[in-house]
Amino acid sequence: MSISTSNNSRSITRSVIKFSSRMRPVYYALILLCIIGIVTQPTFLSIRNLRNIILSTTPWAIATIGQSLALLTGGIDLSIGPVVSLTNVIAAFLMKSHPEMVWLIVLLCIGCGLLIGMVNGLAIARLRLNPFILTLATGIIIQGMSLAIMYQPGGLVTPGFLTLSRATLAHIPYPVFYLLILYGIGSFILKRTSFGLSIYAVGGNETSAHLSGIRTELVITAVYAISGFMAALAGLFLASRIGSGDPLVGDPISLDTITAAVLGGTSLFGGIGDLIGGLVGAFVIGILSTILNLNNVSPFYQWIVKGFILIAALAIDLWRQPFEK
Amino acid sequence: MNDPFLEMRDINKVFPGVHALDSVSLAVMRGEIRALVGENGAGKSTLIKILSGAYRADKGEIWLEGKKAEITSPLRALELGIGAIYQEFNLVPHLTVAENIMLGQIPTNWGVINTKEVQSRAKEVLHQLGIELDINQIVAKLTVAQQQIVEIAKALARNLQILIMDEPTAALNTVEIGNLFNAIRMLKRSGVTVLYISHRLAEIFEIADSVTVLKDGKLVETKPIQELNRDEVVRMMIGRQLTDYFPPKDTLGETIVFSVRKLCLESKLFDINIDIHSGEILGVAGLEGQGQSELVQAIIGSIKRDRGDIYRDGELIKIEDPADAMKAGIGFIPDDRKQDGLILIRSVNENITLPSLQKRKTSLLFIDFRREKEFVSQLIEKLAIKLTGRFQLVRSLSGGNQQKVVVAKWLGIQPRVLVMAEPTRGIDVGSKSELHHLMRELARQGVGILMVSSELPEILGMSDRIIVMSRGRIVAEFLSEVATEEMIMAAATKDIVSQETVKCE
Repeated sequence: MSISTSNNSRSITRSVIKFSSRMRPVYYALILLCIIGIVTQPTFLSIRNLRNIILSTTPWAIATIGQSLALLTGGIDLSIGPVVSLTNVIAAFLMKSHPEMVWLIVLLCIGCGLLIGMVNGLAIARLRLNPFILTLATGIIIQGMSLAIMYQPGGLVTPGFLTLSRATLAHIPYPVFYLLILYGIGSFILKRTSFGLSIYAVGGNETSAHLSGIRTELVITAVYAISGFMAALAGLFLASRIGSGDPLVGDPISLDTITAAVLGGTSLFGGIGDLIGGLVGAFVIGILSTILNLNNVSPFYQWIVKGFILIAALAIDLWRQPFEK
Repeated sequence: MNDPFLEMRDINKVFPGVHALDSVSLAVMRGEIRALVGENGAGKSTLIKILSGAYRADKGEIWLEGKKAEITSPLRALELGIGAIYQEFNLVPHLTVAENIMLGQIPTNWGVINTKEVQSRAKEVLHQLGIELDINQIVAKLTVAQQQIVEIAKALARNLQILIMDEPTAALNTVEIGNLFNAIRMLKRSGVTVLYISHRLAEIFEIADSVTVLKDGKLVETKPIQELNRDEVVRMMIGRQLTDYFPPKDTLGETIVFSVRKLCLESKLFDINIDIHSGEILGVAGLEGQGQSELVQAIIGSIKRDRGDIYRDGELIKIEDPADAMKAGIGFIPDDRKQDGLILIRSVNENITLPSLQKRKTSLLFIDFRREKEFVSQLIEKLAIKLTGRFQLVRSLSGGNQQKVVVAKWLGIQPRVLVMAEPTRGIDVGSKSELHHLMRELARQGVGILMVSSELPEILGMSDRIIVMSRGRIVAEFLSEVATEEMIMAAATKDIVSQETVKCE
């Protein structure tokens, strides 16, 4: 068929157009922020500052993967921040008393994240609980547990564990590789596997997906389990970076991941979006924080700025809907 | 060879308030094309949803090839080779045509999608249907007819034993219908059994081997198509006497209270013109989903019209929002009273006063409760709403009394025009008759009434004049003295060949 080749080339140009139109706002934001950074702070492009941006952005860039998936199914995960805090605290707490059992502790933390995610997923998929309220509630429970384990920052991680976040390979910090690996695998699963397609299908039209023979309950449960898993990785990364535990370290992360994902083009209505957009969105937030810090803007004002950015992202999402149809 | 391939025995299904299926049994041979026909609400859709696993029967058995089958979910049905094309679209809007066609059976290697095969198989199926469609297009961007084709292709892409089609041609043009029928005949030759639901009798006589008629959830009859003609099928579908008692009709006023001119709504309504005289009840008949609900919504402004003017007492009125319609004295009684007509968890008093709160304010902004009490009590008495007190929650009333509350609410604005959608759907005979008398009394007082109803006896018994809608157009108009159920059904089920040529400019 001669039509098929022209169809293919047309679909390629179309996907390029689609790609650029979907990514435009967040890429503009990234470029704009970099320019502002370079202009206002001569040190912005220094190796130290770039490394700093990567180190500080990595935790919520990791957690954003889970959030993006939850949003793609038409849900949301507000327990991500608390899970980050919990795993962070558990790691620092246990490594202080048992520094030799690093890997066991890491596995324990990951298991915690998976378990919490699975519970969330089962409650949402089976009991049909509202994801927003449910994960808000489980988040509060988990936050309480973190504070019960450690009511103020403390603990200490095994010295070798620190290198996981701080080491470099050929001058490239390790976190870059983590992000490449996680986003690479994640994007591959989302775009190329039947599980990934099922996630889009569930978010796009759950009834249809179910009637097409997709095990929608399984897909939803798996997505929240992955979200818990990613949050645990983010918590462990923070433990390695800070060197100790902090029961409130994950506090802003739930909202930051939503902002990052929505900025990156993932729809709050489900079924539209991808992971890479969320990664860029995460860096937009990371760079913005860095610029504000470098310019000595009080953290309180940073909250205000972040709130407005989230509202702007929501407005863009809503405004974009009719054009997609 | 004479054993049926599919047997459904004594299928029962009860929904709250409706016995949707009452011991329905049917047997279909391998490779047979069986048409299921019946009026709206006869139970056809429920029956096929049970077969395809979307619903579960309360009672009854399904046998496939002499073996009892437990169909517990859509997935199980698909595993057994039973697939369905539903009336409402079941596509994922932001996946491509190819992905939608293959959804649920995506070919993979170790979980990784084999894109080439997805595309080639999707192409193959579309080719079978003789249809050109870009398989990489996002489904949300397709027209309704194209989406319908994707839906059909999706069913064909599975190697099904039993294919269920619920009104598959509703959105297709003549050529596409021809292609679809060729595909169905091809499936038949390869041994696939087809259950085909359609209101369009001409189609059934073209494609089906046999016909099963359902009515009010009961099986009427199953017959080979050769032994039937169109009139017999219509008679079996209607099959009832006009036992309901309707109030006597009255002479109409001369003045026109309400007019609609050249109303258009993209791909839903085409050039609708309506006049209602004072004291007239105009019945709108037609099969379900032919634009009736869009028509009433466009009139009261809850959906935006593409064009079209609305006049009240000869005066052009601007309706952009239901509030405008209310101000112009147009009351609206929606077909889904629980969803659109009432606030179930609030009291009768609050529900009735809602549209006319402005009329009973004190000089300040407060509500005059003494006047409100008088107002509500009068309406409750007038409509004979049975309740324990005006603060009873609407939720706890019977369907008939709930509907009276909806009507009371709009009487409060002293309407010139009432738009009523399915005014007596799902309510008991007694309340039904009371509402009918009330409607007639309102008409006598000069109110113009537009009544959409899918119940033919109600249309014939209540209307002074009847219009019939099909595919978003008014296709026939009758004076009620001369109209019969057969005439209305014939007009409603007639195929419009040149539908694509009528454009809404």
